[in-house]
Amino acid sequence: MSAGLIEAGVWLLGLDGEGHAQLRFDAALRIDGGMVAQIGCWEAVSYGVEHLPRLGLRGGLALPLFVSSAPPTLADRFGGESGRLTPGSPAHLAVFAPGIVPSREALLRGEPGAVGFVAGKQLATLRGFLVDAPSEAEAKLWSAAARLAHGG
Amino acid sequence: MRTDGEIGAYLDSMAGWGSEFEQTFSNHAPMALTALAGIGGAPDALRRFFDYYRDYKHLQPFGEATHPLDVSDWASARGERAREPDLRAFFRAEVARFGVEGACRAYLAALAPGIAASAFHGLMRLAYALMRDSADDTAIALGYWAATYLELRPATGAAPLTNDPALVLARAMDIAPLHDLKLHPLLWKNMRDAAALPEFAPVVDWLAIDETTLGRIAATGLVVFAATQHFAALHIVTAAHWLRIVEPYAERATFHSMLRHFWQGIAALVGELGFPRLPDAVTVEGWRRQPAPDWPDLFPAARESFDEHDISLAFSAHEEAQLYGDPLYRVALARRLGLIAEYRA
Repeated sequence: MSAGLIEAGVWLLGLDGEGHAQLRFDAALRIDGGMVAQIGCWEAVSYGVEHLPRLGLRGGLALPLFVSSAPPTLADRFGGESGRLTPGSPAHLAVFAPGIVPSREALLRGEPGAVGFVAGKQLATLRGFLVDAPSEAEAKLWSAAARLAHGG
Repeated sequence: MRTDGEIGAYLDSMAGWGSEFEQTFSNHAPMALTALAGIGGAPDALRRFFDYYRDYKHLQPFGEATHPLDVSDWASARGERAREPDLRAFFRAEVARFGVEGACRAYLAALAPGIAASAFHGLMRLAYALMRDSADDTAIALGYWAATYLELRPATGAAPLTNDPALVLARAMDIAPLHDLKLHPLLWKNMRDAAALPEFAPVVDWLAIDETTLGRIAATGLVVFAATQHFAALHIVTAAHWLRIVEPYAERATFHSMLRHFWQGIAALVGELGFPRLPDAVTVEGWRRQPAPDWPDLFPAARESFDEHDISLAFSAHEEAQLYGDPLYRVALARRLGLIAEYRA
């Protein structure tokens, strides 16, 4: 998907330098050319592009992914990087359905209710795209996502 | 507003790009970059925004003047987009002759009925030029406004119906043929088509214009935007700010004409807005009390955005909030950026 709209109830865009979660609520994200083009309320993000594919899970929890590699057609532009969703960054992210505690393992297994995107492309499984052992920064991000899922 | 040094030079370079691009969408870059600087954007942030915007919108270089205009014939080129380079050259000479304020006073009277130009973006460009106190940007703005001049329906002098802008919108929504109009992607074309309906002709006279009108327009625009989060409604909030900036540069009668034709243009957009029924005062008061981030937390989110309207709104909402003190500006902006959850039932 080179362009599309993804919605979720809570967006964990990343962690700031002090480890605080950067959040958006009831928000949508517009992807263009594999990168994040806009984040905001549905009306703002969808205006004029209502025809784009609409993905994600309303009420779900979304977070950025640390990706080791991108699909071949996008690898030259969006290699292993990210951990943050902001306009201009690659659209590497996961969305989990409400009530599901987000985990890398669920994504790698392609479990229902867990959807992964690499450079904006929705993939059935992220096997081969996530590193084997998460870095400290990635582990903190997953912990923050788990806290959010638990309402913490 | 100071935009000198590196930022000023960068903003000056925007003169080289077309005022509009594909399908006549407005090139917001000169204004959005100024707004971005106004909400704390550093030179790197301006370059980052423009690099994306230029490529995403496929901006084109501005054209060359070919047929000189003078005082006797410039008005004949109003509304002709192809003559914008000639109009820009004309207004450069007039701004050099009269100065910024003198040129505005001399020519805004002839431009005011066409304030719908490029869906108010001629007004926007002028307001930002005046905020920068830039003579060249002023000439560019006057030329852009003139080239895209869009007079919807002339005022007839009929007695007004109300001093409440919201009531004008409500009555416009009752114009049955408006509900059957096919919508275009461009706001100015939707205004043009709505105004072409015979039933729309009286609308221009409905609003009583006086010294309280701009404040009423600002308040109504904010409620419409807070209720709809609609792109067109966002332009009411920002345009109320632009009008306030331009006000000191216009004679009173000219400014009143601008207000009258501005609200006529907004009434022409009720279809685009989805014929919204506005919330009652209790509901709006509840929205006002919503917890929302303060400006120092709103600005960074807007600065990151590639959407020119996020940046423009953040800047104008802040400026308007300073004047009117309404917390709903923060709430509505925070919702647009996704910084707070949905507050509408």
